Amino acid sequence: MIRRRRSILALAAAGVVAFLAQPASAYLKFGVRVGSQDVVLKWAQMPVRYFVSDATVPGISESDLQGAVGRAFATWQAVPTSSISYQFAGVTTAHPLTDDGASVLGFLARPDMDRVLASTHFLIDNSTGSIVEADIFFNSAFQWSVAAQGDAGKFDLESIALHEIGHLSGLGHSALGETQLRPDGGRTVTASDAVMFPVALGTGSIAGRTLRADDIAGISDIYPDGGFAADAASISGRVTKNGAGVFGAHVVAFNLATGTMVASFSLSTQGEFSIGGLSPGPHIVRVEPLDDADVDGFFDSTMPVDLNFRVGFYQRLVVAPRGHDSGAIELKVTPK
Amino acid sequence: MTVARSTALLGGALFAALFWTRPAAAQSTPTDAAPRTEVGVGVDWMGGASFGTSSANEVVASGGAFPLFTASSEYGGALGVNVKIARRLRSAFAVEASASYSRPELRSTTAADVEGAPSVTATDRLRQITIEGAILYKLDRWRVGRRGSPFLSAGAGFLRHLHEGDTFVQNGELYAFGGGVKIPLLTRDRKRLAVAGVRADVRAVVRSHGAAPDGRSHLSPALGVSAYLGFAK
Repeated sequence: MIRRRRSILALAAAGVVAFLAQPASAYLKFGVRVGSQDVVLKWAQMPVRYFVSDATVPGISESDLQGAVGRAFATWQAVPTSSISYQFAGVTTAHPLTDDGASVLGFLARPDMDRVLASTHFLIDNSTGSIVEADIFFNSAFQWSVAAQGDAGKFDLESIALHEIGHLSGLGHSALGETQLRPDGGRTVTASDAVMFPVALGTGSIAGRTLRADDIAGISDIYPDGGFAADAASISGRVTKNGAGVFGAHVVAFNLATGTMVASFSLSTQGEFSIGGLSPGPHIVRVEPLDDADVDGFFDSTMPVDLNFRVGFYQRLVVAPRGHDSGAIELKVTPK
Repeated sequence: MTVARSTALLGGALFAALFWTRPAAAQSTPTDAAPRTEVGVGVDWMGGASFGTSSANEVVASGGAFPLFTASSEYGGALGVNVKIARRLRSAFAVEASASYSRPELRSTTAADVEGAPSVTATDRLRQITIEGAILYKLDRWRVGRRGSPFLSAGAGFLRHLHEGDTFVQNGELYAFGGGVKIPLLTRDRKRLAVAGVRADVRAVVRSHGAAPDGRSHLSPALGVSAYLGFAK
């Protein structure tokens, strides 16, 4: 077995190593090359067993940490259209970043990573593309809270754990969110519509404890259950500018009936995209450049992400049929 | 349920019909009163209906909503065709079955995009099929003009919307009430084909479910003109 380590930094992160999944995906899934094929990175066996580190930080006891991550795991496991399941294996003294075959969640002091709240690290079986181990550390350089209603000035541990466990399960980042650039180069979130948005909502907020449609579509796409594969719809097509494909465009499908949004990216130089995991029905389709988060939170720096086009809507309602694809549409965008 | 302009239009049409209606006195013709089966074919127009405005909401730190953009959706008005078959009972009542076909648009107009995307009206051309059963009550004592025979109607039925490409179907219900007038142009005593005439309908139609994104009931005005043939029993 060949193993290699990948790290995914989360929430106000920089230097993310995110490599793309197959084009037929919603949001971003992680992919790994096995032989000549790209396969979706996922756990091969259920339940996913995890340990919780006994390291504590001020205001957060071992049981607080265990409770917060337990609730976050339970939130993902409760998605009815997903088959993923998790199992608490015990408390450990092991370090979260040790390659020992055990998935460990815990605090780690990384004051050097002053914009990284937490991070997920994988150990992958390159012969199958399955995840062998996934560790999550929460940066103890920040202040944390497990208060039921949040705690001003502190980050909500359950919300951040929910995001990281999304990574642990195989999900990449979602771009469903709006930010404002700060003078110091960081970003302040105005709003988001995905737990997997890469920038945290801020201290005191507990809004990140609830999965959104994009998150549910993502986890259900990787681990489908409950008729998801038969019922879910998709919208696909191309994003073009002056006739040429646009890479890295963020395409959002808004379901008129459910009022929910699920998004994806154009993931080829031909501008091809596919948004899976949709509720059937008519959708408004919106396309925008990836300008509300750092591009490297989504794509490798070598990828030709095009940010030079205007946000716009597709001129037709796009009907996503149950269990099928809409048929290819072309989203024509114009340069800024 | 959406009323607004649609109701005003319907009210105006009904008022006009009633204004032209006057007591029939002894004008009723024997043919008109006889039990018979009627078949008709015609065109109708069903008005639009608004579903209101929905928001593509994101979440702010406090848990409140932050609209990325808004979308105001509606059925567009549409012309269609219909066929009817009615059986007059031995009274002022008749039962009628009808089917109609039309191509209304489902429209959604975006606005207030937080990043300034130009507003668009995105459309989907539906195929609307209805199958309806109704009861008609003839107002024997009234006439419209010299020969027009007014009636009231109430019905309910099945609604089917097929989206473009016929890849997605949404079913619903339809309820209608209103009235109209039949004007016999040809009457023949003791003949199998007893009467031929034209008919106008003014109705309020409630479409429930179907392609309505909000899953609710929506009121629209409907006008129809048809030709009919009446057969003696």
